[in-house]
Amino acid sequence: MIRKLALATVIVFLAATVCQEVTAQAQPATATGVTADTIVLGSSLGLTGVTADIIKPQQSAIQAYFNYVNDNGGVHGRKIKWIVYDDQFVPQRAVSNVQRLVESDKVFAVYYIGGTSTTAAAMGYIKDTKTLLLFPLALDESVFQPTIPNVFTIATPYTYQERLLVDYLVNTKHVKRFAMVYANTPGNPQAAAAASDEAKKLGADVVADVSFEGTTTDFSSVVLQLQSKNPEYVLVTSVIAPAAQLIKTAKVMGFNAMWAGPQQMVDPLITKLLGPDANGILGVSITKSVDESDPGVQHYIQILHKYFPDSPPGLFSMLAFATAELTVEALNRAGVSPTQEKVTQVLNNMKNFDTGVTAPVSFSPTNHLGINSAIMLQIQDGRAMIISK
Amino acid sequence: MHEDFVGVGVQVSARRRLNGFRTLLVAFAVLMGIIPLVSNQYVLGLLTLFCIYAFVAVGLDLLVGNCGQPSFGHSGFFALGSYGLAVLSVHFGVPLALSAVLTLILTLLVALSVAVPALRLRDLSLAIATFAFAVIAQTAIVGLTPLTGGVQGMASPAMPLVMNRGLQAYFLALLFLLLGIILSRNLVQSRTGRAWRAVATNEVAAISMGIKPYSYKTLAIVISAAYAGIGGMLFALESLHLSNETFAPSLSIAFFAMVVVGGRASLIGSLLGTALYVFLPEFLQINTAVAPIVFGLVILVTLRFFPDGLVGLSRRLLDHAAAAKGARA
Amino acid sequence: MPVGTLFIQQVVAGLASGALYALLALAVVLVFRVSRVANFAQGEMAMISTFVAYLLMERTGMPLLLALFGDLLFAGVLGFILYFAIARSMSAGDPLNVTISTLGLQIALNAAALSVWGETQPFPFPAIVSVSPVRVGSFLISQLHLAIIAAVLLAALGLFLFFRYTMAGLAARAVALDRTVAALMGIPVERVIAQSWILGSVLGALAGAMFAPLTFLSSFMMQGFLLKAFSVAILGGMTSWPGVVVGGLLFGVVENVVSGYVSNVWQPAISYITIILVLLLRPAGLFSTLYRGRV
Repeated sequence: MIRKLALATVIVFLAATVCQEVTAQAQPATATGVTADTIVLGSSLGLTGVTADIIKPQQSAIQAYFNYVNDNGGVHGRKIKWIVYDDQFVPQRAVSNVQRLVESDKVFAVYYIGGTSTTAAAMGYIKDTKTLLLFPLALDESVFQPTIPNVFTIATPYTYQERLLVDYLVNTKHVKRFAMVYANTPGNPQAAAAASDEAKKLGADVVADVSFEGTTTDFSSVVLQLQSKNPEYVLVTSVIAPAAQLIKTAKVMGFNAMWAGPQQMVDPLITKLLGPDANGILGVSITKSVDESDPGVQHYIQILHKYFPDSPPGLFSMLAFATAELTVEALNRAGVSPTQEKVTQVLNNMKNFDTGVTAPVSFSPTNHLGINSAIMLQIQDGRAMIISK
Repeated sequence: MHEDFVGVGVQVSARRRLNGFRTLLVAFAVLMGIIPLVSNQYVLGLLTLFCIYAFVAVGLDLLVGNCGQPSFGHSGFFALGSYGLAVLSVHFGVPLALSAVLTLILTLLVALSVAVPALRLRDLSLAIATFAFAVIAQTAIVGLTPLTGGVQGMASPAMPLVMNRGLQAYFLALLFLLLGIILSRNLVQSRTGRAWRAVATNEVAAISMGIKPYSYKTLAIVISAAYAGIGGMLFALESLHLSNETFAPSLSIAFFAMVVVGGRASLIGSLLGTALYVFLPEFLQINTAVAPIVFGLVILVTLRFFPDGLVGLSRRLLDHAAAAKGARA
Repeated sequence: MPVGTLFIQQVVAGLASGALYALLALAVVLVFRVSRVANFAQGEMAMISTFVAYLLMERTGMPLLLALFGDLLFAGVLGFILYFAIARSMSAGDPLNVTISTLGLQIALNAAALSVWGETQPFPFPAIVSVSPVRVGSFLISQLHLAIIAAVLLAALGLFLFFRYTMAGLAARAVALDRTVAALMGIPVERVIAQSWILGSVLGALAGAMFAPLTFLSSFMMQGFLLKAFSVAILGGMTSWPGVVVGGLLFGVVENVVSGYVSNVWQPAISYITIILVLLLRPAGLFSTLYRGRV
């Protein structure tokens, strides 16, 4: 019996190896992902799992824009087909999703991977296969430094954001005592460290450095650890729900400090969850604020609500929208027969493109981070712009 | 020896059963061997995952199905296998084969040390104790960040390749699955298997027959842990990247569910349960929101109408088919 | 803040979070003791009930208390429906199968909630009492936390008295001990089991309503709490109501103190090792009356 089994296995093994070689030869050399009437883009997002609450609005924003473009003639007559796979924010799954998109669905480009750690995991494969990766939501420096020829991003990393934030707080608000608190998920510890370094460089004190696990359900201990050190400002690096919980717990426990952090800290969702407790929170943002009567922002809300009337406008949703606009613009500029090379070239030469919801976007062959500045926002019964840098 | 006390009739049917098993196994092996030829990388990855999880499930069934003990902790052994292999070979440069052996030994030792305190408990307490182990394992992955890469993760160990990487990982997993099935069957039909089932049915009666439940339960834990650990190693070789999210305690519960929903004390059951878990969500990827709803409902409905699990369902279907054929004859 | 006060504050905070675990644990234990089923979907049932309260307030402008009443009513009905659909039909069969079914239910309910509210969640949820803190001695504690602790103690006391001193409670204990004998004694076993599911669901919904102001209402709200509730229940001893409460409070305190003084990262491991240690010393839990093999 063992002999039969062994023989069968060996035969199959040989057959497989031979067939694999044969099929490997037959690969077309034209632009993948482009047909006469469609361009195929693919994404891996955490639709279920810990990031679901911020990812879904982003998905809607992007889909809304693509729908809008498709309804108005598409890109040189081609409709955009957007394939999205759920990776549940697990890096493992993101890698296999990306593999599937590239090898099975043969996408034109991988577009918008929804997370820093998921993008990092897939980066090895992206680099090896030289797949075009457009605008992942990866707030990490390694995405554009060193410059990877086939990867473009507009996500100013948390490290940059936090440095700008600290600069502002120390120089303009004369803050002397900081506390750092962050979720122990990829990217956050580095961001908090960057903020700490910046603070110390500018002569301020970092009196507490507290991390909490992504699975934490109760924040009383974290609050106590912060409270006991009496900081003026607490910088929070985490996704929205735990951050809101932390602040709420703090209020409940009588800890009154000022709060600040990157983009998500001033997202409309925070106001929704915390109500009046959210007033005073300062945040650094890549996108403009939602409540402005800014024509660009209005345009975004109009399109979003045309196709997804229930989707809540937010800062990340706007960022996603901006990447969709950029992608379409790049495809348009690449002409009637787009190829990955043409699109890369177009992006490398893009200067000051206005998405309407962010600062102007520019790339160059040596700089693949499209936005290098940020806007400071503070919640005051809504949001207000304070400085631009 | 009880095996000697067997009438001719029983002996004949035993051999027929063995031939039946062999045929099925060879057919399964050939089928699984051919499938990669018509699949792309993505489907191959899915099939590899199936083989790995099925391997773990087959091992777990020895403990849960045959020996009747719950375990929500096997993700811990799985993680131990993955990270053990990865850390030893990537961080310490230990040759892959040696890393594998060392990791296996480590897994066995950990399994023993978990079994000793855990087996003082029973039923839900035992389940919670095993769950505790799974939590501790995942916490350790994050706690030992310098070694494991923590939440950021680490690159998987590379294996020497004789063919396309994905294909090799698949055949390796398939090979172990087949071996695991054979070993499991031998165990189940041996004296050990009978002792396990005796313990599962009625411990007091088992004691009166001279069986020591504690030893057999420990054996079941250690063996199923070995399966899980090896599964973890295969998983590490298949993936490009390891991170702590994958090894959450919920994976343990998933393994347990695979075994129960598929059908306890049944090889085919373990395979069916795993297939459900691995393939159903993929088929339903059309609408990711709906997929888990259907998946959850399938579990519910299966167990409601088929207490024996999916195996019971398939047996019922086969019986119907046979009856229909018989009726026509 | 002086070291001593900080420590007490940590403990107090731990009591508060532990009370949350205990509240859910009470629901879980009730269902487990009487129907022998570990209901994995208890958390999700509570979450859905709380969403019902939210919808009532949102759509009809109902005040909180009225909405809560509606929510608890819904929870009771839900408990009964689920009992009927799951527990009853498999009553004679293997409790393990039912337990895994509840796992399937949990997955389905969670995904259903996500698909309905996924885009617009999480939501803020009003608290029954104010969340602002009051000063007790030298430390602060939120009124809401006090309310939760009070609720747990009341619920545990209620269950204890019910099981000990009422006929219905006696019937429930009989069913918990041995179904066949109870049936032979004329106790309507199925009805008692149904009641336990109903009451369990209501208790769970109450827990949900008390969680939501702090954790915000979302389909993920209960994630992580359920298994802690089970662990806490085992820690305290499944057969004892005071035990469950003590187990919960103890676990909450351990979590907080370890998190504060040892390490945030290793806390889950240490907390669970504590449970294992306790179980080794007292296999049936802290306060168990020793029923051999009956947990």
